[in-house]
Amino acid sequence: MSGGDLLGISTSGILASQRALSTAGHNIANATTPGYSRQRVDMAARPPQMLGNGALGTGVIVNNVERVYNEFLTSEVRDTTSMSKYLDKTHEYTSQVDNMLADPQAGLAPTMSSFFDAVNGLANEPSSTAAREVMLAASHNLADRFAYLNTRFENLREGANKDIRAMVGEVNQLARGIADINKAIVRSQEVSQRAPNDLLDQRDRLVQQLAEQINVNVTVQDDGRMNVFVGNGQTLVVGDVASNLVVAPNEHDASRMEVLFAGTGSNIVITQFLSGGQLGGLAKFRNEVLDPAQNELGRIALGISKSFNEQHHLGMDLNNDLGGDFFVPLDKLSPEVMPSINNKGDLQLRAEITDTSKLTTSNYSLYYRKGEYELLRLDDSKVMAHFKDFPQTIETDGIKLDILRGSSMQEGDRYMIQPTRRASDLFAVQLQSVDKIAAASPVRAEADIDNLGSGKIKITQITDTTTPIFNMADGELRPPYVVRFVDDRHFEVLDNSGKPVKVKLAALADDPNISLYNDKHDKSNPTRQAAKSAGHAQEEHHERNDNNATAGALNVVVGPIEYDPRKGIEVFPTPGGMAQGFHVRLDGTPKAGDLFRVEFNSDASSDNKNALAMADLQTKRVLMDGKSDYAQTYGQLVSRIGSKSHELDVNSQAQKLLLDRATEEKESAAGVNVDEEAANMVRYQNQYQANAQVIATANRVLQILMDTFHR
Amino acid sequence: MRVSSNQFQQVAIDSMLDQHAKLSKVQQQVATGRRIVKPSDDPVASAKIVKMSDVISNVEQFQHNITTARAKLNLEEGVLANVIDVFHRLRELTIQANNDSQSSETRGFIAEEMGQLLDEVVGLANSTDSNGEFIFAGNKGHHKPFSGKSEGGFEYHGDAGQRFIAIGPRRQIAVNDSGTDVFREIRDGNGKFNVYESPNNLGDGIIDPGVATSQYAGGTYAIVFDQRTSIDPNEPLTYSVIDDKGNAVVAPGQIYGPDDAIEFGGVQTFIRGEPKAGDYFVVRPSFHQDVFTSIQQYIAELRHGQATDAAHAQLHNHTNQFLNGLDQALGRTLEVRANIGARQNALDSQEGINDALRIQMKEILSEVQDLDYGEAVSRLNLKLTGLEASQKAFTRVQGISLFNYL
Repeated sequence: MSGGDLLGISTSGILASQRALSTAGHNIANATTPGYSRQRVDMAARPPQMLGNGALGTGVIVNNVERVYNEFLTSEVRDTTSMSKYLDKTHEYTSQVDNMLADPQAGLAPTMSSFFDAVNGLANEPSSTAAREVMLAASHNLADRFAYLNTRFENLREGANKDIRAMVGEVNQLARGIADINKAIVRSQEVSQRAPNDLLDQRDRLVQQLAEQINVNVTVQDDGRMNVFVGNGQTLVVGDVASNLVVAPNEHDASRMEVLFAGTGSNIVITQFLSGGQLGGLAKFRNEVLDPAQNELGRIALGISKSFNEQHHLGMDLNNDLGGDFFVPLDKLSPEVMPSINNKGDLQLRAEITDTSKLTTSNYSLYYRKGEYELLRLDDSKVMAHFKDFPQTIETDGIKLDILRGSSMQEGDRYMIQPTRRASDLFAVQLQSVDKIAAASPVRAEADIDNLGSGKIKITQITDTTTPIFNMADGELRPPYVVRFVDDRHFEVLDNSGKPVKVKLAALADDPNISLYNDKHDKSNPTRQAAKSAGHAQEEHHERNDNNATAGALNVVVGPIEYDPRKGIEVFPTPGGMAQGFHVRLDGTPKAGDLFRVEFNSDASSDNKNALAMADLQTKRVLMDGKSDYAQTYGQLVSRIGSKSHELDVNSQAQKLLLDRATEEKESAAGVNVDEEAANMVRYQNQYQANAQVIATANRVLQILMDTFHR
Repeated sequence: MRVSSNQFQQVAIDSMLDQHAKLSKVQQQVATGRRIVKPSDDPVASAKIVKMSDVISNVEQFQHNITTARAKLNLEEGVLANVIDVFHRLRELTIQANNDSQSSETRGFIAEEMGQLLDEVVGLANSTDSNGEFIFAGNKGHHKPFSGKSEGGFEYHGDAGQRFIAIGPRRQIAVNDSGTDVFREIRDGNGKFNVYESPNNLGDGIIDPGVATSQYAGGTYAIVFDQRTSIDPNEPLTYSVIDDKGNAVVAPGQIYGPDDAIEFGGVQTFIRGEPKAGDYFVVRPSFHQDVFTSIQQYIAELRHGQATDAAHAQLHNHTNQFLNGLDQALGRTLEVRANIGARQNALDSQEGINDALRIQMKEILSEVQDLDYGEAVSRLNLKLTGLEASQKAFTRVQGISLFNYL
């Protein structure tokens, strides 16, 4: 037994406990350092000294300072973080749209309601300039609201672009950081053959930060270098080398920023592969929320402007003109054809909206491959048409595409078609002055005041004012009509464009100067005489029961047609099939010779028939294939965005729970518990003290020995 | 299980943040009074809210329209009440003027007053509303509907248009009646036919306005007193009736008696006074004549003065015609007024229906959208307690460390 050995053993104990104490101190110092994994000293007994009587212990050795690390838990936290940030970002942006659409002040619905209130006001007082001003102002408000909502959408798009730039910058910085640490780790491992714990923690932390921005895949090489892949397997970091992501405008749409991987050859767009991190969240928001919502809003704008204009065309304004466009017609303006900047072809494309009720909210792509063009609906990737020949006209989903020419083309040429995106921006009021608001019906139907019967005629509907009859050169229909009863049960329709037919009453009995006899004593046929001598111009005279009088000189358009007073009849369109663009009904019991005029409704400043029809549009199902009115369509947009936002909220909370769980587990293994470290300190302090006592003991033993020899 | 100190703190902080978020949500609900603050709170209900708000605004607009319609109808009714008063006064004056005790001079005075009344009633027919729109001009509201012609009679510049106002989802109500309807489409005579005498009559026969039976088909007839065949003063006066084609309806030789009804082709009348041979009377279907022209013509007749018996008979005949026409006009005005009353009732009942619908929709909307304050406040308290508990727990746990005991 040697006191020197004892000293050596206890020294090793002191050294080990010192190492352990400083490790505990290191742990405590880094208790709140993000990404820090707690470390612990790996102590072992030193190899024994083999003696004859057995193996004699030689003390303790610190083999290694290890970090408590679990590869699986770390990657779990990384992946859930990436997904959580992805959902958070999408939700953050979506809830902005969500809040904006249903806001009682800022949403579209209240403005739409007040617009129709104003149309009703016009119907109540069609000749009031004030009511007309109010309606015009309300329509400007509606246009402003569309523009406002669209601006908000554009701001979000712009915000997303800015975020994308900032995030890509951060990704690049993180990538360089990882490459740098890779280098440091390899060097330090070469020197010490031990794992550089804190460097590894730092690298894990950088990768974690990277995952917050973008979804990553990670592999670690044998030499300790880490490779990082993004997008569709693009290598962002290989060993000591970091690549760059860049931001560039979309090939079709300069206002849309895409994320590209700057590879050795050309840059590759990877936006569509981003399925995690904040960048992925922005891409998802743009594709799944912003684009459809903006397209939907545009579709509503298109629907309103088109259907309202169509009704307005059926009316007549205060200047006796047919109604013009109330809103700017968007059929040709709205659809946007955006060729790719990489195109070589010279295709000329014109897009036009033909049927707003059939429109979808999708965008379309026209793609040249394998010798033919293919039209693809992007929402569901359905091929809508393909063709080779020019010129070509395709009509699908309410859009008409005129493709004029395409002599040079190359594989991969493509054109993006956005039918509705711009519509809410372009939505504007065309009508300038209030007297041009077409509140009146352009056609009037009236019974002649001298009719003997009780027949009533009325316009039931105006359907089309583009028919030739409305081509009014001289302020009258072409031609105006008169319906004349040849007897009580039959009528004919006459062209009334010559001299207007006027009924002359049979005996002109109200003429006070009537004389029954020319010669008072002439007995022959007195009443006939009375008729003849009636002081008024003979040629205008129309005897009621005489079919060949003045009215007979006009062209008979249709007739005679049988009339049944019990049923009434639709005079226009006539049973003969004349479609003049209006419906006119006749009821009651007319008498032979009765006249009904159908003519231009000039000067009808108090007529509100068309205003009533325009007000009716509020609840008419004119959108989505006749399934929805304006408010319902907008409600669907609100509900769709609401559900999306709700779904994202739920998912992001669920993801948060997963993240909490993963973090907890990782922290449970790798995190520092200060109490534990305190206990460890006590333990290692005791160990130190004990070892120090052993040294003291060894010292005393040696002293005793020395003293023995001294004596 | 090990818990890292960092995590320990983080959990406590997270829990507080979470409580804060929930508290703020309840606070927002309480502040706005709405259960659904943004569509994602309840997407399906949000779509419903948009549609229901639209329906409510629509119904409120209908209520507003009803107010407008009522104002218009009230105005028209007031004007018609005045018109009716004027017609009554005209009727009294006419009866006065018909009295044989009146001289040409006194008839002139009556004519004077009737002239004033005519101006008044034409003025009423040309009434405007607060927008300056002529209420009886049909759809041509900016054209003054009635104006006198220089050659006598009145001209109408409006049309027969009627304006409707929407007062319910599928209900429209007329808010005006055109001048044609109220003042022009007045059948003269008894409404079916009119009778009048020849201006050249020598006798003073006065023909009764008569009654039309259902057989009257709108024919024109002349009742002609046959020429005498002898100079015998006792030879009875006879008459015949011919139609406008000259065919005899009643063959000549029908003996005339002042109290004997003259009946043919659905016409029943009799002739009083002393018609002379060769006199004739015409029966023709009622035409539309505007009431103003009728009044004007009668006034002219009164002013003209009556010198002879025949002229007196003529005046009586014309008075009978005119009274008939005036009664037709009065009847029409009363009819239109009754019609307005019916429309006002319809407005009231539709207003009730709309109100019920509005209240019902608001109730549903409130159920969907509005906050149950009791529930929300208790939730608010719960969240507050939760937050306080988290805070307390945090501060308590915060102080605990093994280092305190070393």
